[in-house]
Amino acid sequence: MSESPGTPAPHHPATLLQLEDLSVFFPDGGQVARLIGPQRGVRAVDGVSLEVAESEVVGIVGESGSGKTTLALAALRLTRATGGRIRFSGADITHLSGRRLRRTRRHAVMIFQDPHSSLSPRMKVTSLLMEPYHIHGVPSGERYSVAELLRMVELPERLANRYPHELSGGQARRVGIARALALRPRLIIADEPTAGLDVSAAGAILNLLQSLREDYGTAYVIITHALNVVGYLADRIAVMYLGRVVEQGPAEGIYDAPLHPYTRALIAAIPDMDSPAADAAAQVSGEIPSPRNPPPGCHFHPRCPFAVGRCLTEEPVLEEARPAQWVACHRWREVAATPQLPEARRGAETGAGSG
Amino acid sequence: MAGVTTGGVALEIEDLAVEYQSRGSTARVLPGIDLSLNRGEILGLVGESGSGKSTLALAILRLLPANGRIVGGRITLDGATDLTALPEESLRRVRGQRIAMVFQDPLTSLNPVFRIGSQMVDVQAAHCDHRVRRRDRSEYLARAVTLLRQVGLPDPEQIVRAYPHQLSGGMRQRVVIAMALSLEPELLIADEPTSALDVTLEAQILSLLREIQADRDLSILFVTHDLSVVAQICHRVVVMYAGQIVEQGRVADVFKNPQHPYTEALLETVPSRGHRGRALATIPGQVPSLLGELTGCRFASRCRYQQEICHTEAPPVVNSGASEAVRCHMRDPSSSFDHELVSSP
Repeated sequence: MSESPGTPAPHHPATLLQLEDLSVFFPDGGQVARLIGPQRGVRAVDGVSLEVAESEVVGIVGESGSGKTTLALAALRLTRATGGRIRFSGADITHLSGRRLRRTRRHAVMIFQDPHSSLSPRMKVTSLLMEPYHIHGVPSGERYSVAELLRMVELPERLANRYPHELSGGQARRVGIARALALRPRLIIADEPTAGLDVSAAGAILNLLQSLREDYGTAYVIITHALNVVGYLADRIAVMYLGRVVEQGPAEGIYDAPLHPYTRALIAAIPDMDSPAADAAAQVSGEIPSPRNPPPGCHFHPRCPFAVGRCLTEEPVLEEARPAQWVACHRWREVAATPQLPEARRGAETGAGSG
Repeated sequence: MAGVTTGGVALEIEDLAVEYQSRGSTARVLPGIDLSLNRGEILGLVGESGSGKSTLALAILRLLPANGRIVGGRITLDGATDLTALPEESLRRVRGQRIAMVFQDPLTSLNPVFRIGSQMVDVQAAHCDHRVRRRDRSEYLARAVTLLRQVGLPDPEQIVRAYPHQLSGGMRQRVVIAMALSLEPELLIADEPTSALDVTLEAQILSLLREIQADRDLSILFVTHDLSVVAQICHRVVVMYAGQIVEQGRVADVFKNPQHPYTEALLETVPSRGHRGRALATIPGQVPSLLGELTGCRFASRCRYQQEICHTEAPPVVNSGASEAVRCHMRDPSSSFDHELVSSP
């Protein structure tokens, strides 16, 4: 995509991870089908440029099917990028392999979504925590002890001899985080770190990530479908829709004054205790279309209340609408001029009827 | 928002007790539940994992797993039928026809190898009194199309021909809701129906349920761990902790002025829009195991107001503030709880 805007101007001194026009395409069919006939498949990630600075927390937000997890996997070379460039700490890792790739992976680790499926059921917590050291051949002088790791994630030491199925969802999540921390990485990518947890347990995990970041200066990429999860932690937020970044910028800007209609819809959809009758359905209708056959022009136009003729044919590119806040929308000026939350909310009180 | 239009109680649960057997020991997961769901009302049943809310929902339809059983109490439907005493044969007529259920994962409720239309026809046919003829089946199919349109699915004539895997998560949940409505039940039990959905879809399904409730004057028991969802669609709320109901009342009253310390703490954990940057509130400690003997208040060890009496005596259920029922010594005027020691109200 030659129209790609390039990367937004770096506003943090040292760039740790840099994705440049990254694409991931999953072709359909077997070898033969690929040779004959036109190339069909899913463009899961479509020309994404993103930077993460040292010690920075970047949130990647989008619904299922937006490509956020694929983007993370590609960034860590856990799935193959079909286009673009990945730099980690200045070095191009797009085509690294073997030992040199493994060395990079020591510094950039991923915490997967479902802790119970990413922790081997046959290993005790002790072995699970020491496993990264064996994989990377870390000399004993550079290792944390099991007790230290458990303390870092605020777990009692007695859990060391448990198996994953004996842990609660929140505890298993913490073991996953401890495994990631074991290698003292410079970057942790966490995929839906709070999915499936109770509110209280989820809050505790987010508090933990926040304090770990303060203590160790690790940079984080947090992938989630819930804006309120990253709203709390992230310095910057990138919003994805059907493989593309539609808006990115400082968290305050995205949260308090979003410029893309999709970002607005996501924020309006956050159930809010203070304004209970919020009705996001009034703002955005329909569902995310299949990435196999995305709508032409702006991918969001079929669901967009602001869409005009141009949106149906012409793909919007990211432009810097406010300092460091980039938006890919033909109509962002109109969006910005429209009040953010519909005032006409049905009934301020939910509790109708007299008990 | 459309409120409670007709009077009367749709579902009354009195002193319901449920036990689970596991490895020779018995856990009394619900020691005695009392609640009522008014006709035409959406009642939110909230609690964290392990609170017993799903067990309660399953017990109503006697769908408990093999190691669980109801050991006491009554569940009265529409003031007449005691579901705990009903023989399995008659219970079959209650399930689906009078009480329908929607689960978290729509895929568990849909058969992957049959088309949506034929599944919706089968549901109607299974509950039909006479022998089903071909003409009936085409009538059922026409009704399926109407229902799918009513739950907001575009192009329902296409959807009846689709298989579940061809639909998205949000569409599947709408199909399951349409299916649940197909026998015109008086009560709908929805167990975390939006927890697996993206936020924009969750908002859509919630408004759909709200519309359905108002249009059909349906009673809904809405099971969820998410207080903000309760705030959006429920009229009344029941808060559960470790198998017990700790507070119940109108949503507006309970959320504005919670009377139980657990409700208060739970409300504080909900992140709000203006929350950026500050540490999130959590409830330290863990839900007690239900395997052993429990003395005192079950929430005592995690409670910010705990006193000696809380660890020794089980609190009574009292009226307090605008809440209808609160299980707490602090709210019991006749207890020896020392209010002088509580600094904040």
